[in-house]
Amino acid sequence: MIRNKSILLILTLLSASLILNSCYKKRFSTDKIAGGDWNPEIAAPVIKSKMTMKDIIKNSSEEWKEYPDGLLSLIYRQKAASSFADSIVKIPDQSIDTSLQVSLPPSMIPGDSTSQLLNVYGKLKGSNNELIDTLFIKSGSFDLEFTTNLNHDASVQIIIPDLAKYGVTFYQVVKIPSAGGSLHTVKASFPLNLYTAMFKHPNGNDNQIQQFFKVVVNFGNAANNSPYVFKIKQSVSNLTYYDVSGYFGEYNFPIEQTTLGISLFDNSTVEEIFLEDPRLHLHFYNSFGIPLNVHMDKFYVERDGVTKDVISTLLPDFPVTPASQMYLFDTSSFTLDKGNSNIIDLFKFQPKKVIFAETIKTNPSGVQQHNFMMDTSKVYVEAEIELPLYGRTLNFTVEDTALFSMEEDKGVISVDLRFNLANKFPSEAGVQIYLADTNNVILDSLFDKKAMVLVPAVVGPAPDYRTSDPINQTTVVTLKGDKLKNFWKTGKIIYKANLSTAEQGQKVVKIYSDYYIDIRMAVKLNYLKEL
Amino acid sequence: MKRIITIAIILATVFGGKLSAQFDHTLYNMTPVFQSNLLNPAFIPDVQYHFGVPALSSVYAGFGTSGVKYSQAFTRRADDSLNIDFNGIVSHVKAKNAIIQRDAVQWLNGGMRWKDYYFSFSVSDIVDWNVLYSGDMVKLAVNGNAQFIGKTVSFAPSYLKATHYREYAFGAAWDFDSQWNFGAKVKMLFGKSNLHTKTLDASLHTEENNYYLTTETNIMINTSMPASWREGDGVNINSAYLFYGGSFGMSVDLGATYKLNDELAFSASVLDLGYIKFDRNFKNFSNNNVKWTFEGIDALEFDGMTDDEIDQRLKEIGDSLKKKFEIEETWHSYNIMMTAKIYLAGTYKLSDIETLGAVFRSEIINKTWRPSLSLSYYRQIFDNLGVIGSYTIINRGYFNIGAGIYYNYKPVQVYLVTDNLVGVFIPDAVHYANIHFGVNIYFPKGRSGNTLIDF
Repeated sequence: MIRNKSILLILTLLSASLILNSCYKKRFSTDKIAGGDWNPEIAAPVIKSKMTMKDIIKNSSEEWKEYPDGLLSLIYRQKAASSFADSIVKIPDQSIDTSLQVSLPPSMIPGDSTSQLLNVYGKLKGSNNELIDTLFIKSGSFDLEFTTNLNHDASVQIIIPDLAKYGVTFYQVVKIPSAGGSLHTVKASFPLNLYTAMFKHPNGNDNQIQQFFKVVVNFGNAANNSPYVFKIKQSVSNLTYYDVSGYFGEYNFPIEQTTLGISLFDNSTVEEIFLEDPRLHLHFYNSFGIPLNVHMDKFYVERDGVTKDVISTLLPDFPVTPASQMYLFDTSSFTLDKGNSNIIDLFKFQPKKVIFAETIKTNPSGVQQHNFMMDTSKVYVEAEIELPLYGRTLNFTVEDTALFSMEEDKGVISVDLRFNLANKFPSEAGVQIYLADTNNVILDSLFDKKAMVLVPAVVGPAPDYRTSDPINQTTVVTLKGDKLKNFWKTGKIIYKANLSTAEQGQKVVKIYSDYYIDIRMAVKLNYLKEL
Repeated sequence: MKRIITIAIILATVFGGKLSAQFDHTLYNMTPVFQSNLLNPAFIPDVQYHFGVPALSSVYAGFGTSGVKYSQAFTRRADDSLNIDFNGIVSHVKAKNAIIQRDAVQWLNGGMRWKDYYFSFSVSDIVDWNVLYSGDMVKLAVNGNAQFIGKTVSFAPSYLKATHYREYAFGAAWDFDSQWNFGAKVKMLFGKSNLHTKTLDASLHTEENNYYLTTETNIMINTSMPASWREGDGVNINSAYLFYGGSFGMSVDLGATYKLNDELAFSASVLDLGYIKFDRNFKNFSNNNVKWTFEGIDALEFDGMTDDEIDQRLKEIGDSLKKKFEIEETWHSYNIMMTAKIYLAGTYKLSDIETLGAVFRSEIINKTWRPSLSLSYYRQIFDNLGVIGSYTIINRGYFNIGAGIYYNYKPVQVYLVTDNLVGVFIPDAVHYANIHFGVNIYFPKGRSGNTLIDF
């Protein structure tokens, strides 16, 4: 009985334990956790970018120049070139006929030979009465025709002392077989490439080169019918050169109309801009060993079809010095600035391009002097606009578009975008970002009512106009409701920035390379997630 | 870190369901139950000798949360599924919060009196969870960091110590005179598994203007457990795990009682002063004083990049971030200190059958003092039946009405005690709940003649 009661007690206790354990498992049934609404608000930095002018320059498609004090200048440049010299100064095909008589000694018997030396002056005439001192021939053909009634076999040795290749004088032999006494012609042709010819000008206006024709006759069985006819026809054709020197007289040749684009005013409108010191440089690069005159046939700026002429005391002719050595360019530069031109007015006009066209004249003074040129000699004209970022502007509005898309997260209830900006620039700006669809239809603007305003740094005194420490400012934008919906739909964003230099565009400023805008963007995200 | 969380979940899963502990309040002043000696080694049972039914002499399940209650963290839907109540969690979490869970089962137990002495022994398996967490950490996880803009969120005093160990306890008590009893226990401890955040310092500062995020971490986490647990490959408790003889440690319990007069008596005890050195299956994770500030991504860096290049660059940034917070893994043995407890108690005898009692208990976990107080009323209904009622303040819970009963049906003693009756039935709705029951076999004084030693 005692044992039964004891066992009953123990069993009761065990049963209670098991029941409790089962109850606990039900109570703490973590396997039944089905979810919950998690609604955190998360704050985190997103973007930290310090955009210095150096960065802007580095990533810019424009050309920039930095002066020793750090002042920056925008550079636009465009080159135009003349034709090569060999298409301007050409040597025409030409020929010379020379008639001689060959007489044989009367005492000759078969097997004897005799020779007769003929001295001829070859002449080369240019298309513009050039005086050619030396001619280094690139290509060309020297053709000879010998017409004679010699009734004995003969040969002609041609020697031109002032025509040499690699220092070896021109020497050729042409065999003239007997034609039994009838008049017959023997032709020969010699390429002239890589020969250098030196000409003399005994009459002051011609180009002569001495030639020797040595006629050697091998006396045969035929009779001696001296004197014999001996005609020489020599011609040069297709003559081109590597270089040539002498005096080439006056040539006129054009440089075609060229356009220099100024992208500063692309995608922008400007109410007022005043650049303090713009410059327009003209650089002439000349590889002709000839003094030139460049005449500006056209020189004007244009914006949307409206033109304005460039006016300068330097215009319209620019003397260009000859190249001092072969294969080198010599440069002549001229600068149009506010002291000698209307350039300030031109840039108030906000031009989008500069148009220029020229005519080149060689030896403009007409005085005979030593010239040289290569076949590749040419003239380049380079127009270079230098716009130091020194001046003032009012409502310089820049607009651009960028693709943008972000996958919608339905858990996002609202987003606070917090912009912290520190502006070292002496420019104030109103920035607006438009949210647009892929068809550029604007859905919303990021900033309500007015744009985010960028406060300029305080500008120091002249002449440096350097700014002091940047002024920090914070702008917070909340995206929620319709604005958030539009944000998710955005396919493009359109930036629009309205810039003015300090004091509503009335303050003259300079932009240095160490200027920067520090952009920090942080977000505060209210998120609802159904777990 | 993910691995450590996995390990913690595994430990909770393995031991979370079978709770037992010798560290309860109501039982302290229920001295007819022999297991009250677990709370003060100076308590001497009024029997000649006793032993426990193997595995049933003392079974304890107890847990406590000073922060959010289970029912505050979850709401039940109509379909019986549970909904995480994030608002409920945040509104009930305190600045510093603790979760404790103690599980113990006594496999063997026995004791006997000899002259003025009482000797006891026991073999128990104990699982002890101590978790501390900061309210800010919870608020950060639930509500995000926007509420802390301009502030630093510290994870202090976040802490976790979960230990499973086997205890071989040998106790002796001395009935010194009519007023004083003294007792002590020496315990040989054999660690089975452990997870211990020796250092877990972490903070997050959200800068006011730009929301820069600065984190500082200093972590040293020691683990000792089968590799498969650590890798999250499931839990396989085998004999090699259960009967490993290493990871040795020792601790002592000390206690005393003082009877001022016939009505008033006082007692005090200090339990679990000791350590365990875990020397197998160890792995340590550390991250030494890493401070890092995230200020955002430099958008200019991506200018001109293709989509592929951007993806690659973002991956590189992510990788460098991971590397910065990379946890170093080492393998070395380590010591843990046991969580010591102090009991201070007093009783006032109203009559021969009625006693009022008060117990003040405290423990210090990772420099955090955790006190609790219990008041009790004991009544001896019959010679072999006693009941007790108690009121306990613990874990910021002020409505813990406890009760206990024992019944001796010679030679069997059955007892059942709890510090919170409500917690027994709806444990999810309370800050603290426990239940302690067991079955002993006893032999009253004088009935069996001499003690075992006298034989």
